[in-house]
Amino acid sequence: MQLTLRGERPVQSPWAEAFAGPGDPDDPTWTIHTEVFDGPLDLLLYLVRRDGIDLLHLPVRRIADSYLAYLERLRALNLSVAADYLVMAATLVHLKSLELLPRPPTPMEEDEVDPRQELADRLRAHAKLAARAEALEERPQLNQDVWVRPEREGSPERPLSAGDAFALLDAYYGMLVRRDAPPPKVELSHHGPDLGACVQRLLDILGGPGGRGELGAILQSLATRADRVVTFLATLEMARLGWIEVRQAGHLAPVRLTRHVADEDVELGLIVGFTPDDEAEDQMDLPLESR
Amino acid sequence: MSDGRVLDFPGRPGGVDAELVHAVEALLFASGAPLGTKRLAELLERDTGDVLAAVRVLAQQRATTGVVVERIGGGWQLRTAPRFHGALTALHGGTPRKLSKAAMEVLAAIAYEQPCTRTDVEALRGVDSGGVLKSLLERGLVRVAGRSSVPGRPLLYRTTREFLELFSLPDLGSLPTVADRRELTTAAAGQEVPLLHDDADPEGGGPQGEE
Repeated sequence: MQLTLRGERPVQSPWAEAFAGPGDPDDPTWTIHTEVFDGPLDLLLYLVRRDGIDLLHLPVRRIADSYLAYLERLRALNLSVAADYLVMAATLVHLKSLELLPRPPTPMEEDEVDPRQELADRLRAHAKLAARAEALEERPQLNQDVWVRPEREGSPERPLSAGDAFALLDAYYGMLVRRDAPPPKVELSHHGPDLGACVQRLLDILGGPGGRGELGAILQSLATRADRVVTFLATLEMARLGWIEVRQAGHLAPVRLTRHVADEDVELGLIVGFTPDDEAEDQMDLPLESR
Repeated sequence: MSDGRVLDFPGRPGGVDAELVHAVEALLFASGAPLGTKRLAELLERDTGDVLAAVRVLAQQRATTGVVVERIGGGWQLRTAPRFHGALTALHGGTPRKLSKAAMEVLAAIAYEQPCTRTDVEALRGVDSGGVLKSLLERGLVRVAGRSSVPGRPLLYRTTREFLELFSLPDLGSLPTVADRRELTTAAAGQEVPLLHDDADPEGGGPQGEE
């Protein structure tokens, strides 16, 4: 778009987009933030190109005036000018002064670089970088112009071996067996099973000292869910007291019980949670949740 | 496993085993990531010369299809043909965030000048580039490659393999040249003015801390 700023000749500017934004340019609080120019070199390069200046023969006076005029316009628009831009302005003014003032009588030393040449070099290096960045951007970019087959997330480190199919079969078989087992009877009762009675019953099932049994099978043989739960608790208590030994070969393997205690050593008072019959009434009155 | 078919290949009197071409295709498809000729030869237990010929035949066969063989970062990779970018962009839910102009400049500075320091990059751009450099490091497009020997021993940066993959480049020697661009035609005559390093030698020695 075309812009006329303060009666000067119309300029085509990348800033035009920013100028065209909402708001009144005369309002001093109206501020613009833009990244169109990436530093003073970028602005200088834009001005040089706009004016069709040959980078090899940089007319310092002309570009200094052009640059300062641009900064003046920005300030008129209340654009805050970053320090970098002011440093460049100072450099340009310095270079312009070198051209206007008479040459000092002492000749420049051999290795001393003409500051104007230095600026031209920087500008050309910047122009080359910008061109390279553009050339690079024109390459077909991954996930923008071209795609590759995506890596699948969570792909297994080690593929499962065929042997695992048998584990699957085992799992399925075990599930069928459990399904076919008779479901526990549910009895609604105010009184839960008596812990002491459960201990005694378990000892009877195992037989005398040295007697063995399998916990799962024993629990399955009990009539109600509450019986099974309390008997399980009884098992833990008896193991703690050393009355029985509990062994399991592996995860989810059968739990084998071996009785150690003799009949005469059984003392129900040692069981935690056991209450003699006279107190049992209140303690056992808790409703059991049964389905 | 071979069906015994042999394809003609210039410069290889024995031709190329057609089944080897199929095997290379299968490996490149399953890999997704670029595979080097040597790696392909190891996997197929074949001579690298045979494999390279097979890759070239495959590239030729696929050249006009939707999935082409590209040389990327020293390896070979199956990639979609650029002309289908529209539908593929839609498939992937829109255009991804592009690199900013500043990021492209910093990346270009490092790509063509590597190894180089942050000061080198900033001298070229004339602006602070620390934040942009950090984000490029986080994206894995540049990496730290030791320290310069100039005072202060600043960190040196290089581009990564991901950079080559992102810009579809076989290697650093294939960076696009800008010698013929308009901006530089006027400067080309000035022999006394040292420009940046020649495009023909992007791996050439970086600046030794001119600041």
